[in-house]
Amino acid sequence: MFSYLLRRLVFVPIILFILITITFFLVRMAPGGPFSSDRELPPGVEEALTKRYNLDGSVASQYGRYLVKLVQGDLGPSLKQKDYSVNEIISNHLPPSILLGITALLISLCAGVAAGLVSALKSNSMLDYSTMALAVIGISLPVFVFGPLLQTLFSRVLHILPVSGYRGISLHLILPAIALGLPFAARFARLTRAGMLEILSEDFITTARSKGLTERTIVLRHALKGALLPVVSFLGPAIASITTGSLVVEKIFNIPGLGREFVESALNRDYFMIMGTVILYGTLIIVCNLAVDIVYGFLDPRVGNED
Amino acid sequence: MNYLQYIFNFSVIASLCLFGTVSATADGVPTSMPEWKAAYVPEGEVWKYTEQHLTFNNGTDPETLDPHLMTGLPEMRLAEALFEGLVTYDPSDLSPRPGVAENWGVSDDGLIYTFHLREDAKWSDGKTVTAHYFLSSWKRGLDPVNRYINLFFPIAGAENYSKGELTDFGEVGIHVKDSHTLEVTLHAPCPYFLDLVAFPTYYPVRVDLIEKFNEKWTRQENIIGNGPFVLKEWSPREQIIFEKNPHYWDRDFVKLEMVTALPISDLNTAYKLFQDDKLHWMPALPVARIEELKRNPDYYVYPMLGSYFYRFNVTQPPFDDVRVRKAFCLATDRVEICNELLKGGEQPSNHFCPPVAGYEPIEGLKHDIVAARNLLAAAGYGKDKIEFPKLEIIYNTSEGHKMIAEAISQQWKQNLGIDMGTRNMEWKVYLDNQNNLDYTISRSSWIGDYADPSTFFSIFRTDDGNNRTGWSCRVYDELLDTVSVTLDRKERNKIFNELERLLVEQECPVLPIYDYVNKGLIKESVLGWEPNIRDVHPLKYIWRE
Repeated sequence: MFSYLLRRLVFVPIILFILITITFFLVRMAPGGPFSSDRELPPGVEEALTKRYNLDGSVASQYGRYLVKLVQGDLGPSLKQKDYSVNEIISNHLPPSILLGITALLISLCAGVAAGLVSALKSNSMLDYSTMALAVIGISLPVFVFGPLLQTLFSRVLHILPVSGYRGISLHLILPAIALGLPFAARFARLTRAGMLEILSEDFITTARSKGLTERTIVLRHALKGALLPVVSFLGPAIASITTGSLVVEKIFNIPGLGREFVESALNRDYFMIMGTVILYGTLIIVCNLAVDIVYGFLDPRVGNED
Repeated sequence: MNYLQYIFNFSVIASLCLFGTVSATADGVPTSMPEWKAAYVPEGEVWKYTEQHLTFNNGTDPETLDPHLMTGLPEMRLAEALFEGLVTYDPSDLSPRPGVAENWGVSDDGLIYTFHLREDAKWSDGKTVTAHYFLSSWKRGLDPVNRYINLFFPIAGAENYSKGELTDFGEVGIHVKDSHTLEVTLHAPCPYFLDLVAFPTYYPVRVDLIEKFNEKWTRQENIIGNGPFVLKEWSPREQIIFEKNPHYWDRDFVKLEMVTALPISDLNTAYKLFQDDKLHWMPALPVARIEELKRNPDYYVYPMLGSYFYRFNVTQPPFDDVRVRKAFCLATDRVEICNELLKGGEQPSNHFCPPVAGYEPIEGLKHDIVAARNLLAAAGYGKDKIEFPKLEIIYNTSEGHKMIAEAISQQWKQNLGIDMGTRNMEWKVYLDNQNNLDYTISRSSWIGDYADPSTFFSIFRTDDGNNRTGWSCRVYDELLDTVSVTLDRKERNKIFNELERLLVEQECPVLPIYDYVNKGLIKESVLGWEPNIRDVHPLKYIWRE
């Protein structure tokens, strides 16, 4: 297990390096630049801006300079949010995204796993069908429909939760967390159900049943651990994506999160901001997947034993 | 609007400032103030018992609070609270009103402006605002990272200095006569110069602060301004909070104690907050709900200094032929677009420059299908003739632009029998295509920077970076040269009409569609807020009742 981990760790910087290189050159190939606007820049302004932001010289030399800065931990300036650096933007906007993401993840895990278990244990009943129908709706209902619906119901009609805004750990988190978590909850429910049904048909469960164990013991002590394996493997990318925010949820609920940077930096050709978001997301994905593999090793003895 | 009169007749301004005063009461202390200003002193006592806290939706987080780097209206709305130029806009008609300058004089030839700064103008750290600060700020503004640098170019030597052709800043026409007198020399008369001086790029900034903190000088802990408000909090994407500036020279006149600007880009969310009374003003509306919003008593709509139009690429067939361009203009029914499609009060337009500063547009080419068909046939297109090539209108991705492009394409199909495709493009790609003349017809818009028609017409000068049609006309360029040295308002407007005629009647490199309007919601409790063509609403004059 240890040598397996070590081998995985060695690959992390290599993967990141490839990711950075590809993104850097790909972004420069997109038509239009960070300073183009519907108003022509007065003569000399483009040159001055290019120089100010270190975008002069060939793309290769810019790449070299970028890497040097990057190694020192400097992600460069934002070309759109002119008063802030990329480092500052990430440190300002990542915490709200993480807080919202974790809240959404907890809500969706609890709701999703519970619904999935109920469905599996009462499989092919009305309860199962209705839960799974809800899950399908959860996956397919776009958040720009679901979010405003939540706002209208809980804020405009019932007046129990605020419409929008961000105040740290507060009531303001609930609606955006539900909106953000819904599709994840639905995925968790379906994965749990499938995993549970598969496990329940395994021989060792039949053995346990024939030994006369109670259904409760069978489910909780023997089946649950294995049934959650698919959920755990989905958890890696889920954590990475849910904690880096969502453009739509942030817009609807006015959350100062990082999600919109992923989209808007690309639209604005905010070169350094794009790099910053890609590096952050790439690292998160790699780390989460690694963590999932470790957890997997504990849940499923077959993993990591092959070497 | 007696706009130009103010500029050229110093005595009018002087009489307004010095003699045309009435007694008014603010905070119970009798003061004397000019009539135009006294209109913004609340009557009665109600406002004193109302919380003087205004919350409005600015729609986005500002890209910067640095007046020399900003480009958009949301930024300028905030800058106007934090800084004050020599001259400020009248909240109603935008004519120049005293700001840091108590008064000013203009030489007979219109070349030398002498600004007399008030003694009591202070920065928010208590230091006096002297003429030196303006000199150093404008010098900084001439650094070409300022996208509005060209607004300084009427000043003698400014353009040369910014290009490095002039190295001695002393030769630029900005001179400190004494600590409270600033003399500005222009290289040619500029009838709208005072309007420019009120623009954010002319605001004074603390260069000492900028040298100390670099781009961090705009943070709440560092920034020092001279405007009616100070920055209390800037939480990016959450909110911006201003508090009344206790050092502001006109503090007794400022009624609002606190202002919150929200960056909500989802306008449906903003509307919910407005309904909950958590928002008092929203200058942008969710377009899909316009019918419902129009019935709201808080709804407002008024003309704006902006034009929505299509550009033709005149360098390629078929639109290199003026007859074809004209035919397309004649075959477009703007009234249908505005009344059936947009329904938001937009004004169908056959002109490029909206009415501004006394300028009245010409009638232009009206909807005339027969004339359009004849022109097209004369150009050799039609039955038994050349088949019209399959072309596209390009527009930047947006529901509104799509709707209009499809409707116009439908009209052309009906009226001319021509199939014109439509294609949406991501913003930067669209700009790239437009810039490189890689299009046939392109959606466009133009918003005026100052209240003078030249802010519109100048963009179609040959080879102007904003021309983007490939169109070049010697007569047009010469008329632009003439108008730039013409001071008489009537004479100017005549020339502008001739420019317009060339643009939309004779040569038609553009197809005007409608004049923009400002639409929004504002609570009845907000007073001192005036509609105007630039959508400029100085917070200094606003209060709540």
